[in-house]
Amino acid sequence: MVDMFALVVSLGMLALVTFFAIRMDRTREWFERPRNPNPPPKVGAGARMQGRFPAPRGAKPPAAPGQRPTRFPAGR
Amino acid sequence: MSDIIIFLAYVGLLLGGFVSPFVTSMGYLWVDSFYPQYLGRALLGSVPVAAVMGAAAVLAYVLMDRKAPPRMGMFLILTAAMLLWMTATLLWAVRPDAAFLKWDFAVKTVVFAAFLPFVFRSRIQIEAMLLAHMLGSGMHLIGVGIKGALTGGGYQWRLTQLPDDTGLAETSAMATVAIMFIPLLLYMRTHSQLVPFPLIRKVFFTCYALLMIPCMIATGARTGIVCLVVLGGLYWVQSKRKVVTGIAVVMLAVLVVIFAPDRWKERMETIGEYKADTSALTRVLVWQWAIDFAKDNPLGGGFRAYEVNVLHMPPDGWNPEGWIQRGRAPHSTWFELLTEMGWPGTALFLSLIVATLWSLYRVWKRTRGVEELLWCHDLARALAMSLVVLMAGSTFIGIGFKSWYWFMFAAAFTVSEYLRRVTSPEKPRPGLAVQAAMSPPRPGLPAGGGPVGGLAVRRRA
Repeated sequence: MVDMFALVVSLGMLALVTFFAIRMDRTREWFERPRNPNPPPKVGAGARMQGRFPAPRGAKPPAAPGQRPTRFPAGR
Repeated sequence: MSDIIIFLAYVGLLLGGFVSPFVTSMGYLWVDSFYPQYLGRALLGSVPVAAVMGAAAVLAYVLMDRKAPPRMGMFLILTAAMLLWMTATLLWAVRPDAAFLKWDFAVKTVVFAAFLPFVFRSRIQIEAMLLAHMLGSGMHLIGVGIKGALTGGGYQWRLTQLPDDTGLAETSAMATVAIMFIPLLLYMRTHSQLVPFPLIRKVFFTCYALLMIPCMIATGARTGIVCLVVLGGLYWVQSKRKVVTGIAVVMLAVLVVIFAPDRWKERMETIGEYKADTSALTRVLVWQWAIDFAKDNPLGGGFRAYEVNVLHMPPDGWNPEGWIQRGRAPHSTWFELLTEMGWPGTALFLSLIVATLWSLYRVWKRTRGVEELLWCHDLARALAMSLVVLMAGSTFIGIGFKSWYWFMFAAAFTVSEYLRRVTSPEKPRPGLAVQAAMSPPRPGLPAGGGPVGGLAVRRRA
């Protein structure tokens, strides 16, 4: 009884692991290069957050993470 | 019923190689630790399961998966040297026929260990390799762990369905492997990607790790308590909060003593009384013989050289005039190596251990503080702890040419090779600039800094 339970558990986990190993191995890069933990600071006129379009002139910069949204501009 | 399930698992792993070639190598690791030929005798009893799976693994790699081979590192050089030396000792073996039998399985173990780093290269594959091995052994370890928790087990009880002297059927080997797996299981509990359901992952690996304590107790082997003390010491040494860890280790020890059966405690109390205990005294006498044998035969006596020993045992209750034992195995990896492989073979084996621990230390150090490689950092630590526990346990059992040591060497090398690949700068290839200009950015690579070269990571880690 105990041996049967151990057999079912170990083979069940093996089936799960093999299934996801095949699936993930086919869908992922075969290795992932680490990101640079300290990216060099961008300087000059072209400096902007990567992956975003530059904001139009005079536009408000996007809110920082954790900043509470304000309903009205300050001073009103 | 169980025969059919085991047969389906075997065939599934064999055919899985057609989809992803590394699955057949997983299958070999599983066969090597699960022993389907003994547990599923009705359908697989007459099939050379390991030979078929091994051949399929090599074929799958050669035909479908030859890419990014590992560099010729210390592991491969020392393994090749060991293979040559093992074969050379057949020339002067004191028991040639018996030596050839052991050489046959030892060579397969060592060759397949050297083959593993070629197949398992990515994080997913490395994890699959570790899990195939641990889940194959899990059939025996989990079963014995549950039996130990229910009954307490006992020394020389028949706990597994394996024949005597096969893999984990030996009690000291089982106790050692059970404790050795604990750091790896706790690593999987945190980092496993192949069990993507957090609840299942945490429950399964925690239960598996916890069951290793009753499993160790159930064997009744004193080797287990040595391994447990070593593991507790390792956790304490590398802990940042030494007082808390120390209290946790002491509490675990107290719980073990409270819940362990009396017969286990009585057996553990005999650790210091080796002269009154036949098993321990025989070990000491064989070790003395092994040192004398190595002095006379510095190149070793080939595999199973211990079969020529003659031990004069002191008088006991049944034999008032003393008695003689012949052909006793050394029951220690170090003395086994000394008698069989001589000083050169022992030096090669110790060099492999040192090289493995050194490579794991380098991985651990280089990945410190790199978020994407945190898993490498933790895996290197878990592997090093497991290897040290294995070394402690194998002092009392001859397992130098069983798969556990060689699996650990290969696993450490695959992790260090992974790190070398991901941190080495990409080599420029002809036409790469044109390809990069025309192709869209790779989705797997993050923005903000991009990939870094080996030196950069090394400096910052």
